[in-house]
Amino acid sequence: MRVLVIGGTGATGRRTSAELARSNEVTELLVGGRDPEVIERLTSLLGDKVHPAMIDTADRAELIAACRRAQVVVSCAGPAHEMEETAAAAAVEAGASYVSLCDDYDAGAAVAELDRRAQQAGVVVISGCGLAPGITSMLAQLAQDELDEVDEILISLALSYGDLPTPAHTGHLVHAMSSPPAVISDGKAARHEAGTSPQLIYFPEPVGWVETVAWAHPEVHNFHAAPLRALSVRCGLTERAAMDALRAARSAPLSSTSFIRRTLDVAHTLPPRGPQWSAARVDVVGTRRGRTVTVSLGVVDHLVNLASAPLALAAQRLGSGSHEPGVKSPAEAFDARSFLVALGRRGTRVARLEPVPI
Amino acid sequence: MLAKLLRLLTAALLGVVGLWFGRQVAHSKTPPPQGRWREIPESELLGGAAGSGKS
Repeated sequence: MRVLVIGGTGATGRRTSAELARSNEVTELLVGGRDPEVIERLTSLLGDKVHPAMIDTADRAELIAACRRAQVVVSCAGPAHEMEETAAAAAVEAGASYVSLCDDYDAGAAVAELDRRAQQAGVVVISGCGLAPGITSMLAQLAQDELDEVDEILISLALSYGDLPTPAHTGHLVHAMSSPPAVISDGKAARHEAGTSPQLIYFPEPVGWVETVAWAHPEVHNFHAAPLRALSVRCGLTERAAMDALRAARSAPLSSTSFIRRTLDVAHTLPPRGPQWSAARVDVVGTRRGRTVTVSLGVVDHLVNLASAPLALAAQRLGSGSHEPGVKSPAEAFDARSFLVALGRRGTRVARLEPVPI
Repeated sequence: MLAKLLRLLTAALLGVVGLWFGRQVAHSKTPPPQGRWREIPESELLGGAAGSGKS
């Protein structure tokens, strides 16, 4: 299988490329980026089957030509609200399957429009298979399998800013914080006000309690088939001062992304710093044998691992498995249990929240 | 003029420190753990893996 990684020289791209370079299923790995020196150095470290691919993602023809060299295109290029639609459309046009780290609502909606073209091209497109959507989609599926009927899904994220202080990630945080969150409320899709309704959520240790706010995320596209009463996504930063700065920046119209980034770079070092770990928690409320039950599952690791491990695994499975073509959610494309088992063997373990016996 | 500016800057600085301190106090009491996070072993995860038809 030939794989192309777009944005392969960023923090998550490097880790994803390293994961794919170790895979026996990958016969040739093309690592794409803009800086020839960085790509050369990276590919020489990763082994003989890894080759550089100079790509200017702003040049559509160049991007399509690069995608034609691969069977599976993996996109780590960000921020997603700027890159996702272009990269996914280029892969479909080149006849390659596509998987990315996208976690942007509008980009997810734009990629969903590619469904017919993806089916005609016989390729699979998964817009977002990192931490969320990705691991959280699998956790939600695992929890749903334990219930007779599902009523409500709450996805919560606790991100350590210090875990991934890259320009693309900061750009995404600012964009997500200022976009209206898409939710399902009383069975209907709706948009809420961004950055509102702060709430403490208890994540797997060592993260623990983190203040989260309503967050713009694309999950509402993935659960459209299920008759849910409620679906929402919340997010918070484990560094409290950085979260305060991010929330303040939302209401300051003149602050640029680079100014916010400089502020966050300082703010995340102020005490109390909180744990330098990221975590996700999925609560699924439903009924089992007539009783209302809440299943709470979670993961904890460094953000770069939580993003790159599922992405690399999804790329491997897209290349080796036989999948129905079209735009799919992670839980539609892959079996949740075997996916989580494979992630566990790479070090990402799933935990279940159980009440403490009195 | 300079003295007025200094007073203004001092007030602004104290305000920022006050806000920060207020946040620290407001968040100093976190609730007790909601429960115990138990790692799900591979055997438990594999319990229902068969027959999904997905990879």
